[in-house]
Amino acid sequence: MAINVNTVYTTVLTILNKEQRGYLTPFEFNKVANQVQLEIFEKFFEDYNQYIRMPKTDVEFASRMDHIREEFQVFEKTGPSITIPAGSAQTDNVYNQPSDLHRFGSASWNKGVNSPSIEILSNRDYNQIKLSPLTQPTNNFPVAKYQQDKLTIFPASSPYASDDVTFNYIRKPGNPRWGYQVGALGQFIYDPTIFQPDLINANSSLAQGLNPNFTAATALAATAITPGVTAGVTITTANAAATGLVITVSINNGEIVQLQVQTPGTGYSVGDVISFNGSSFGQAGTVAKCFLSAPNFNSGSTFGSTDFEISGSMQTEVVLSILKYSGVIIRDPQIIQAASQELAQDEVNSKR
Amino acid sequence: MGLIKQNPSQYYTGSQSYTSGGTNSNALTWPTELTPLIWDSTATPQSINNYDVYVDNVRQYPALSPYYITQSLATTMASGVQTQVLTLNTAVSATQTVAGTGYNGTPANPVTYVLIGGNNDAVISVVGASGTGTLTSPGTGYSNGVSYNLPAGIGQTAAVYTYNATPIPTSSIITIKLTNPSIWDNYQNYQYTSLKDIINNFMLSYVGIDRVISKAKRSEVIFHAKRGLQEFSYDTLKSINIQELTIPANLSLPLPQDYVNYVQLSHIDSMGIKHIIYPTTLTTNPTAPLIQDNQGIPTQDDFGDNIESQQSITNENWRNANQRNITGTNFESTDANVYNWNWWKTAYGQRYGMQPEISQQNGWFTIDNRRGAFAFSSDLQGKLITLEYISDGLAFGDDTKVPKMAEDALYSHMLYSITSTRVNIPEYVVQRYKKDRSVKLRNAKIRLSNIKLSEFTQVMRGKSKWIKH
Repeated sequence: MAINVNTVYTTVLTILNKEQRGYLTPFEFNKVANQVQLEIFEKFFEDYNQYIRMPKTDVEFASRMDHIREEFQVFEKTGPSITIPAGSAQTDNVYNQPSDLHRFGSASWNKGVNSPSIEILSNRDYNQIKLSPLTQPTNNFPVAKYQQDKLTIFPASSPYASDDVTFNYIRKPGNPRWGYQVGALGQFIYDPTIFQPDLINANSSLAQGLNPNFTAATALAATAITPGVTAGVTITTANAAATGLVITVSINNGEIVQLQVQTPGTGYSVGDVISFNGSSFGQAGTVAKCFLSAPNFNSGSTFGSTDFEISGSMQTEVVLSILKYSGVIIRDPQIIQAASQELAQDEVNSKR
Repeated sequence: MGLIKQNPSQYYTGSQSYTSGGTNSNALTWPTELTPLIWDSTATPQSINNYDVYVDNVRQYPALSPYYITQSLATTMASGVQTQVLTLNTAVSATQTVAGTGYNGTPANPVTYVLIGGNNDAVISVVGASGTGTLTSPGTGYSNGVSYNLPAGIGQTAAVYTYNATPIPTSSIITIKLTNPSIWDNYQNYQYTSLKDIINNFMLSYVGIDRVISKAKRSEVIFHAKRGLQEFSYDTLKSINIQELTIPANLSLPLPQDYVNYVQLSHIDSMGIKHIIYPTTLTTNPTAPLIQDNQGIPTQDDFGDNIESQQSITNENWRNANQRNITGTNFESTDANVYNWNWWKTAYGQRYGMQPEISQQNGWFTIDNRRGAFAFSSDLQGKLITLEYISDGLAFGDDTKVPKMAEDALYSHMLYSITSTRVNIPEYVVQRYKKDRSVKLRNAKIRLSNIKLSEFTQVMRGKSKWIKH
């Protein structure tokens, strides 16, 4: 279970403010959070290696090996190779690794019965084994050279397809992000919407994109409309599958004053245009248009949040590690020392 | 999951039955449990394919009326699963029965027209003004023996074609049946395991953290498995191959493709009883029959290499020798050159008694290493022989079969071979595996010797030995 980013941020702020030590901005927090998550993530594999070499137990909940595997299993993936450019044909026995591969685990060969695993060899080893008739690669016992993020698999057997090989690997964790919008008083308001780069900001205003606005002068109460569905509201979008956007329109003094996103929908992109036919809004003879721009989407704004992907059992370590870096940011040695001591104690306990 | 994948019907008959779809093309998926189908469209079907097609128990080869089946086999491998789809197509044709006029097609520029009827998808490629042409796409929904028109425009009269097709009716049963050699292989399959499985099992159970071998490359394991199988094949496994051959006029037979050593050569008499042909040291096979000049110096060709005779004179003389002169199966009045008892031939030795080594009339053979062939004595010309020989078991790669009775011995051999070639393994551990290998190999030999007490006692009865059992 992932760690909620808001829980961590508020905990860190609580500890810092209690001591009256300063304030960690969301921007700083997001940078530090990413650093901390990667540190802990990389340490999984070092710890795993250590645990393998230590005495083991198979008692339930007591096995460190099992525990550490549980920690990184969320990042373990299997998938076919990719072609570059995407969608092009695989033409030879050189297969590209998946784009999100962080640590290579193993690969299996789907042209062999029951998909045997591929033995990874250095160039030198490969040159040696191919000289012996007893060890030459076969479809049942394939081998590969791993170079330049590509697997060159032997025996080469045409026809080729990108799913001839399946990678088992660890992907990199997503960057944690405490998303927010700025409130009326300048305060940061947490946005719990899951961050997606091409998602329209939830509960944001699109009014700044209006050009032109209506010109007549009839007031209208706030009304929820769906572009492309509600009469008089059309949307010009590059993606025909874009759907689901619901916005609340408020008109006052002959102009649209409020375009509040109620439901962000999916599939919209920068450059899409929402058109309002004035006759449907009591503003006959006039048209208003709203252009969606980069700041209307998560990728161009502070909206949208991403939780820590490492498991909840790491929450204290995450908080302490962020505090340690916060101490550096706010230049407080006491914070650094206290957090470092706590972390060191945790480390000692877990390796004893 | 059990090791038996086939149901009894599949095992005993090696066949799978299907109901026809009633169309001109039937795509049949072959069960993965059965021996894969082999079909080479470029070869003679009977010589290469390992299955036959039956419709209502009638074998469809060569192409028989009324279906005139043609076939294609597609083998695909996806996610490690092999799928074979055999497509049987029944012959379809269209015969022009009424000539039309005004069609545009020519042999150089044929024009395609659709036969009107069915599902309007049978295509005729027209090459003549009268609408003559050939069926290029059989289409669907057309009936056998029914006439259909080609389209006719203004100024044209329609050509008429009679559609000829006999799809296998839905009431018929199509059976795909493996041929006998494949079924025989299938029958004895359970007593073996494959080398591939042995290697995979070894990697699973012997190699890894907390196992006897903490880390080993699979290539290394494959090497030791194959070497072990080679060694076992020579004296432990029952991997004797027997060829039945007739000795030709040149008295020689090439060594088999997978020959490692012979076990026995015998000629077979009219009752099918074998008579052992012995190797002989009476003659030899020169490996370099050199051409000499009149000074006795070997002559060389333009490249400086010795010129060799195509035919060795030693071999020639041996072939022409009267074997009775050697074996002594002569009347007293006839000379037997080698063992002649005439007083002036005493240098050759005197016949005081029979020499069992040469006193037999089964014939002799030698191995001519220059030509890679068995060479036989002249009295064997035209005789039927059996050639028993051993191979090393690796002729068929990873799918090589290993008797299950020797499986454990092979694991032990691999374990010993790998540990003994590594540094930092305590010697007592290596010795333990060595003893283990030795014991298991002996067990495997005893098992595969197939000694049954009842058979043993039966032999001993003939020897006047009493065995209590």
